[in-house]
Amino acid sequence: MGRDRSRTWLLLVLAAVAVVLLLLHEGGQLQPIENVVQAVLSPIERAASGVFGGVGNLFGAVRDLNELRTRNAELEKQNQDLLTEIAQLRGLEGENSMLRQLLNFTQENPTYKYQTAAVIGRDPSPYLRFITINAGSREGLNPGMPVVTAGSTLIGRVAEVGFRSAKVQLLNDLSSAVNVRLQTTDVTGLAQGQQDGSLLVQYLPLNTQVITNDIALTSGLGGNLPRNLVVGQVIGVNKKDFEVAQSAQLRPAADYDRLEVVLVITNFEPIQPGQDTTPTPTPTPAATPSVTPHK
Amino acid sequence: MNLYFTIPFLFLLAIFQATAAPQIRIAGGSLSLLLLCVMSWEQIEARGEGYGWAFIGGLALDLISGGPFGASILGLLAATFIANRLSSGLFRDRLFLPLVTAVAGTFAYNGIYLLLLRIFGVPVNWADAIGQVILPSAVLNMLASPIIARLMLALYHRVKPAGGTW
Repeated sequence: MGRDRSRTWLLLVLAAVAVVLLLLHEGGQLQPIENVVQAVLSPIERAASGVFGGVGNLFGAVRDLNELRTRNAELEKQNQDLLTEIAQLRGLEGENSMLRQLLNFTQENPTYKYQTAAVIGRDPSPYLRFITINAGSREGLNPGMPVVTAGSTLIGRVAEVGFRSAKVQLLNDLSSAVNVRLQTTDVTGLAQGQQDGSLLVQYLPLNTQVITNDIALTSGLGGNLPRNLVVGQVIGVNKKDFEVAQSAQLRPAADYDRLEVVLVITNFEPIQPGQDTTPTPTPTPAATPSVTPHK
Repeated sequence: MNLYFTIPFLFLLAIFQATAAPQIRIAGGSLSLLLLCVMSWEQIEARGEGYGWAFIGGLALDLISGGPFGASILGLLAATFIANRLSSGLFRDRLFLPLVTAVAGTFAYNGIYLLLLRIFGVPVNWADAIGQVILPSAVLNMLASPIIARLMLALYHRVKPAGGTW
């Protein structure tokens, strides 16, 4: 009886401590302690990530066999389409180079400073889509910085920064929302993460034709992200006449489960609420993107 | 509770859960190794030590996760409480106890976790979460639970040779 009571007290005390930790974390008071613990954990996580990477590949190979067959057929068709498109684009290239001189192209396509980082962990919760990378405040990372991968593909934003590691909120996290623009129709919407790992673009005007396979790019609206980073491709449209807007399902442009190395854009300055300036990234004088390798 | 053993062991389990478990996700669900180990320990040890394990294990998960800090601790404490109740109740059977505990614990842990996510503003869709995460995870945990229970019993005998009657 006495033992039962003491166990109940233990449970209640630990639960109360957990609630206190929850509140302290929300207030930011735990950050120094978290930084110290993460500094210890991140090398172990990195080593474990290397060891267990092979396990994922093994399961991934079995899981993806059917998917690969379908994808192969799709890619063959896309290849044909792209060859046709290349021929058309070559004709436009000359015209484009002339127009580029007229436009202030740096705003559209700036040269960024990048910090490379390896993915050393993923969120253990199936409801959250965060990755841990092995670069932090030591490398100049700050919360809100955009994180990209090959082909100017946006994968998320830096959410929390420790001394030597940082947590990146992926675009398909449930609480992630990014303003996007569909490339062909130029309409804008809000891409939000879904439980199944896809993205849903909401608030697209009902009177516009949303095209399957259209590419969604960051719109730059809100000033939190650079413009024209690739987000995903439209794979389905949900349009109902009685609703005020339509939505489109996106396949993310990157496979978030297979990310190994990412680039953090370190010279983009998000517009803070209240600032009334155009959301432009800070270009560097270099002609090519500068990549700072992670030590 | 031997903290020199418990803390590194649970932190290593949390790191395993953050590195290997997400890569072997089946039908949206993944194996909650830490949850199973903590619940098994509570049922084997049967003296409330599982609550300490739940606290340390949850702390490790929360440090790695980007979710609300403390959510995993509370989820694991709830699951451990259920494991404790079940071990002294109707299902005290060597075969069925781990299976029932795994399913009930998965629902308790995920229920508390989702509730806290909701409170902290994450737009959780309960139907999707149950269908796409909790049910597949419960099945996976149920399948793995007899093995984990056996392994934890063997570990218990190694750490505490005098006890362990599960």
